[in-house]
Amino acid sequence: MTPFQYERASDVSAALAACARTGAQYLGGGTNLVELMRETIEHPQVLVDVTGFSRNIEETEGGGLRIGAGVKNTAVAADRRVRERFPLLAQAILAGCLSADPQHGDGRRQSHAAHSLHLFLRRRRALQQT
Amino acid sequence: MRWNINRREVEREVDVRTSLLDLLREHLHLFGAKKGCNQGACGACTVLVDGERINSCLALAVQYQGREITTIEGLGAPGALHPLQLAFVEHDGFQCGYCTPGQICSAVGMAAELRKGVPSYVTEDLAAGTIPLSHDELRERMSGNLCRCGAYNGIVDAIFETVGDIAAPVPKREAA
Repeated sequence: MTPFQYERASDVSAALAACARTGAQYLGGGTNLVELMRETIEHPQVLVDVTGFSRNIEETEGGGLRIGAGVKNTAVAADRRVRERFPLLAQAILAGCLSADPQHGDGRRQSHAAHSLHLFLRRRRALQQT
Repeated sequence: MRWNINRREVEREVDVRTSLLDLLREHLHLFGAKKGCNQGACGACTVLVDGERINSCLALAVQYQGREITTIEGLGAPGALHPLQLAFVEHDGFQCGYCTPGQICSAVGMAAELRKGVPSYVTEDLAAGTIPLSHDELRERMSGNLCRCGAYNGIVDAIFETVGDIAAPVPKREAA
């Protein structure tokens, strides 16, 4: 893994400013990013940790929901309002389609999408090296 | 850097690239969590953070300062086994034992999810009043933990005996 600088963003504007720099990336649960960094497919110079952001799901006008950036997938899928009003979203998360992030808590293995992306990046890197 | 691991404060200076799993094993010599695949597929490294299960191999240790980390060493000890550990012994829930710490930490996390009413991929009715822990539910919820010995029947029996009576309630509707 290529060395990087770790920062924890206190709020959205701080995160935006921190990530505007060259080579900076956001860090959430890290499931995909950390693995890609370990393979040196990704090599950010700065990681801006945004896991401390809002974990609230709030009602919006017109019957929508505003999901805080710090809300874990499992919490979204477990939310009564999501399950009743946006069941497809809950089902997609539970099927692991959106991220299947083991760090999101439901213990499922990586999604096919994430795995395919990973394989694609590995093959692309292999081709670049030949 | 400082962490709270198994109800004890520990302090170490480690490279920011260090995974939580490597912190536990290489720096703190807590060898319960195992490095199986090191890419989040096998579940052998499962630990609990604030009561939720995570794959510690894909977690950067630096991110988990100030959180309550629990490993298998913090769940039970010789002579004072966790109920799940007793049940795993009773039901032959392992052969070689490599995946067992991850299985048990994962089952503890799964039980907490059930109590909170978290649904799973096989939950048929997301709006149902309760989600009984069926065999399908249990197997799906434990699908992130692999056992190459194939001790699954014993694992399922042990978990069923210990947490099988939890029927997940659906979270109450939020006050408008």
